[in-house]
Amino acid sequence: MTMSDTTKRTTGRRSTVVLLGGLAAGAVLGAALGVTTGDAPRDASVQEQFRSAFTPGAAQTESLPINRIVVTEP
Amino acid sequence: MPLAPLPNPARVDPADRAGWPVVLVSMPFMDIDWPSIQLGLLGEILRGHGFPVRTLHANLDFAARIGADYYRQLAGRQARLIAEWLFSVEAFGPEAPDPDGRLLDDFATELADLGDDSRDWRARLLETRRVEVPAYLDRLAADPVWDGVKVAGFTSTFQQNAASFALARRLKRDRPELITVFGGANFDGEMGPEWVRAVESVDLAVVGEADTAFPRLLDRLVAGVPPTGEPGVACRLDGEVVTTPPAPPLRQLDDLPAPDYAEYFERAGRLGLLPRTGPGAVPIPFESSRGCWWGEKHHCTFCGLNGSTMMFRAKSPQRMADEFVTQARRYHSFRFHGVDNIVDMGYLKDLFPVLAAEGVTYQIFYEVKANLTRAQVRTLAQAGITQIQPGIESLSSRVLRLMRKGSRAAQNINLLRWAAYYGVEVGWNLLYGFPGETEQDYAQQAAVLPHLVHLQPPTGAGRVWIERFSPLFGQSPSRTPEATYRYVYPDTVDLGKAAYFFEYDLPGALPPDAYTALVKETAAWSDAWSAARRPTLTYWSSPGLVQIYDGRHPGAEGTYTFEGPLADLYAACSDRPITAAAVHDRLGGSLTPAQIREALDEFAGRGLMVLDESLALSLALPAGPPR
Repeated sequence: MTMSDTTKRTTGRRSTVVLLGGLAAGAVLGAALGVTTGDAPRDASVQEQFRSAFTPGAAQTESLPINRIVVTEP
Repeated sequence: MPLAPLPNPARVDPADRAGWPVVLVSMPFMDIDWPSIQLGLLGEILRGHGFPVRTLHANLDFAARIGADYYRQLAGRQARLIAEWLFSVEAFGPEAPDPDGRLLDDFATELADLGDDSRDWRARLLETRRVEVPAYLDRLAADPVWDGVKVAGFTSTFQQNAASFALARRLKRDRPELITVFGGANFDGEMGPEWVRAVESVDLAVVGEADTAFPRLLDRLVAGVPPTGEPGVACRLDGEVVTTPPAPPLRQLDDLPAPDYAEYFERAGRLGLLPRTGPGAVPIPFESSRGCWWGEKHHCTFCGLNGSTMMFRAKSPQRMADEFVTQARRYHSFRFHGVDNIVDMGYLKDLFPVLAAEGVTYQIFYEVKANLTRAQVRTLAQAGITQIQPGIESLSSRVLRLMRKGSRAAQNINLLRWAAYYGVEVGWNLLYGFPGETEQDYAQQAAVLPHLVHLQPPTGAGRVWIERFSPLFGQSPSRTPEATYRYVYPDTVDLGKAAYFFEYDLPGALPPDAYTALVKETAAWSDAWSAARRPTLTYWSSPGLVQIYDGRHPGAEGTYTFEGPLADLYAACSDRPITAAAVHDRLGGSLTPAQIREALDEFAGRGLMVLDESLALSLALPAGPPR
């Protein structure tokens, strides 16, 4: 069995309302959160947050092929 | 099936119709890559009335003669009437205005790209005109298909007139008893009567929709009743042209038969013009509606639909679902091309979800209104609408108001975003030249374009054409027909009545250099989109965190990271354009209105958002598979 073979397994979890970021699905996620930690200080001005927001450099954004994420059990 | 609700003065025994064979013809330069819906539909209607009908996609024969690629080049050239000019001498003989080819000198700069490496473009056009066209017409007129035929019906849209007149002239010469009937968009309004008056080879014209008028006209011919007084018919009487206004347009489109395209496939196959992958790759034209529900309320200023054809009518969802199934089986094709002016929004609830649920794998083209929501674009994509042509036309809300488009620039951009996200191809253009626009309108558009290179670019940017029936046509002070008409048609034709395209003459027009930056940025957008590595602007989000990878401009790539309310602000502006006040409400007051304004300006300054008057829209697309 591999991790990709999920068709015969069920999680058995009960249905429930999941809150993500303190809000029910459908709300603006995270709207209730305050500023989180990061490079910019919590009380940084809008302009300061923008100044520190950019990291230059090209990236490979394409998803990994599906066969690259199949992990065989030991 | 009969479609004649009006009292018919011609009492015809249905058996008599069997003695009136009809050939319906589509001449160059109709597209060769799919069948003519005009022939397919009218042929079936006439068969339903009992007339022996054959269709003749004669455009295919000309394409096979001159080469399909060259044919497509000529057919795609609508701005100048070069395709009409090719048939002018054969259509009008000694009356043709340009037998020596002055057109080629006077418009050389616009035509020079019609050549290829092997031959000079002038020589090729002249040879086509002097050798290929006569030989093609001779062979076509001598075809046994005309034996015993009583009526030749020509459908004509855009550059099909001269070729149709040329064939009709030969047919009338060889078979004087044959009756020629013309119709199609080129015969709408006052154009039809003028062609009947001015062109000897045109016996009769159907003006407006032909579904009812054409079979009723044929019944008059069968019964020997004069066609005068028949709604939607123009004819000559004692040297004068008599035209009767069309009857109200057909309302119940479900009553129409499914078009029959068998002759197209047989002929195209025989001529080697079908795609190598077989008939499955041929788009099947369909008509699910007529008219324009938006134009009924607000006629876009450049749109050439006229009053009677504007009335919106649509087939029922069930009928359309059935027609897709029927046509797919008949022609072994899963590709469909809607000829509708605008999609029926009711289909988004009643038809497209059914196609998606049934798991059919159609590839459908539709023209749509541009202000579709994300959910509506998703519905289209799931139903197999893989190509759309929205009326975007401009990325300036101010210019869009001048056009009466009923959409905002931010909505247009949002459509491009979600179409890209859901994998729907978008065909669109940028238009300019509208009365009341300013240089600033175009400077602002040109400044936005470099930020949009991760979205599908326009096919091009160009000055608006003045088309008959459009509101701009009514605002044109001189109404001068497009210049090349006079190289095609004799001066006995009153082009003020017969032409469809007119020279741009609107008052208060900006100088051409006002659009230079827009045209340049449009070209740069196309180049960027065509690059080996397509530009990207993608965001990942989680509550309180957004990362945006900006890969739009080689050498300037990078990643933005925003946390807290700024991240939520960016995510809140992604689904659709919203106002700053709405952003404030959705963020629960975590940013003041002043901070929101400042943040929107900062995002826009980095090209991560567009601000369109009161609206803000994030430009990045969500990462991951479409959902």
